[in-house]
Amino acid sequence: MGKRKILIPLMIFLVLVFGCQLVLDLCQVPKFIFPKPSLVLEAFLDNWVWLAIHLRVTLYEAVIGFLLGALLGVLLALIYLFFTSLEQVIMPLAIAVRNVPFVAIAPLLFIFLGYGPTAKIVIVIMVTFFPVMANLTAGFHSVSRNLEERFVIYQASRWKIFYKLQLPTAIPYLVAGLEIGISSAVIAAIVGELLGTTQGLGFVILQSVSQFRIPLLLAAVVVTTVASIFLTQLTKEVNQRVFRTWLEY
Amino acid sequence: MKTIEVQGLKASYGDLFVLNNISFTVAEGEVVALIGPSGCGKSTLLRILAGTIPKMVPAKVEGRIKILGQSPDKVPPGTMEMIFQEENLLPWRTTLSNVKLGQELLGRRSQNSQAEEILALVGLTGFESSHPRELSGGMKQRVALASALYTSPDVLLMDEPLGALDALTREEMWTLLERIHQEKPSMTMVLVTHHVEEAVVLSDQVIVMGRLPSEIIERATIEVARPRVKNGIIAEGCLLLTNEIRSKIRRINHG
Repeated sequence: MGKRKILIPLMIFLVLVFGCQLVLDLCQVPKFIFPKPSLVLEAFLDNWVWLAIHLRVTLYEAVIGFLLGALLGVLLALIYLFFTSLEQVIMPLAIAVRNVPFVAIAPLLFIFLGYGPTAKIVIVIMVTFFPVMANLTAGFHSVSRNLEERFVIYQASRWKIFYKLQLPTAIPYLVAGLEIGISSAVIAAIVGELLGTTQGLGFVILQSVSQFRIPLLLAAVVVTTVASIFLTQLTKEVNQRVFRTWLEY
Repeated sequence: MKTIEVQGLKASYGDLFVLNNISFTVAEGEVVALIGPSGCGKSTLLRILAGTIPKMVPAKVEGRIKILGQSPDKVPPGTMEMIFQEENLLPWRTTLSNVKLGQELLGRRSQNSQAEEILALVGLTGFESSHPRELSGGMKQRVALASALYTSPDVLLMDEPLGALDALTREEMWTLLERIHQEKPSMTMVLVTHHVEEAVVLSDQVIVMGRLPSEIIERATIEVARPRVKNGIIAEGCLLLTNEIRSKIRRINHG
């Protein structure tokens, strides 16, 4: 990634932080209503070990949930591709699962799966599988009719049509689905933690609110945002390296 | 020897009756052009010859169709090749790799030197490592042609291959197709086009199709000596025949 790509957003962030500090100083806003960035930084420095411990839990749930969700999305898209007769079954079911208000069924998940990471991983899977499946399916459907016809004229096997034509065509769509999926993974994990747990950044946020520690709450929010951006960028980098041939045409 | 035999061909998509009683034969090495108004079923006819209809598109097909004595679905792979107006190439592959695609799919060994020779024939030496996005429309069609020729097919089917090209590039491609016809005299070609002049310049036989349900409304044998395009100038005989066919089509269309 170019230095410019990092420097510009960083500078914008710093300007916003200093601007916020200045406005809050000048307006003398009470710290329990909206703490200054300096207080948030202080809260972060005082609690970074604690935040790091909980961040690790959230990242674990988000990454494992995302990987399993992506795998499920890919598998469903493949089933959809190879067994078109199941089309009427898979897509409505997937849409139904995607639209289940997980905030509402999370308590059920906690009852079935306990308050450990499993329930939150399931919530992340529910959120992340759909964009991967829907994008990959769209990619498979976007194969050029002419090219498919050429393959049929060559009497290419079903497998050859898949790996030499359909899969490469669908890779940019898969990549888009993975990037959408990872960007929602951290949020899904945190929402899961907010609903019932004693670990993770969601728990930190919940604790901070109940104890009215607003600087710590904002520090946890910043850590969450940075973690989400980091995972999204990491996914982009990995995608670029792994799928380069099919992305740069 | 008859390479293609079509007798009493009828085709319909559901209630839409597309082709009615189409019969024609194409001899080995002959070039046949199918012309007619948009949507008259020329491409359907080509796809029936290729065997992709009804394999890929549900359609009712009746009549006798033989390619080298066999029905299209029994023809051994590699016998036929087809090129389209666009989207003939895999965009993530280089020119050379696209040329070798057919051989790969047929499970045949392919050598870079042979693929490069074919690229030289279509005038694309030096573009071996280029991707389709780096090539012009005409160059992409040359690659498609090279890819089709590399498998040495007996029958080359072309569905408006020059339809998306500008007039000058189109005329350059006529010269190239004529040269290919000279170098591979046993290869039979069926060309679908809207362009009467193109049909006359490139083919030995022009088949004119009418509106739906389409029948053959006119046939013309082109006996002008080849090459028909020299230094960008089209042979006078071709121009005369073009006008003659155009006026016949106009007379038929206007009763």
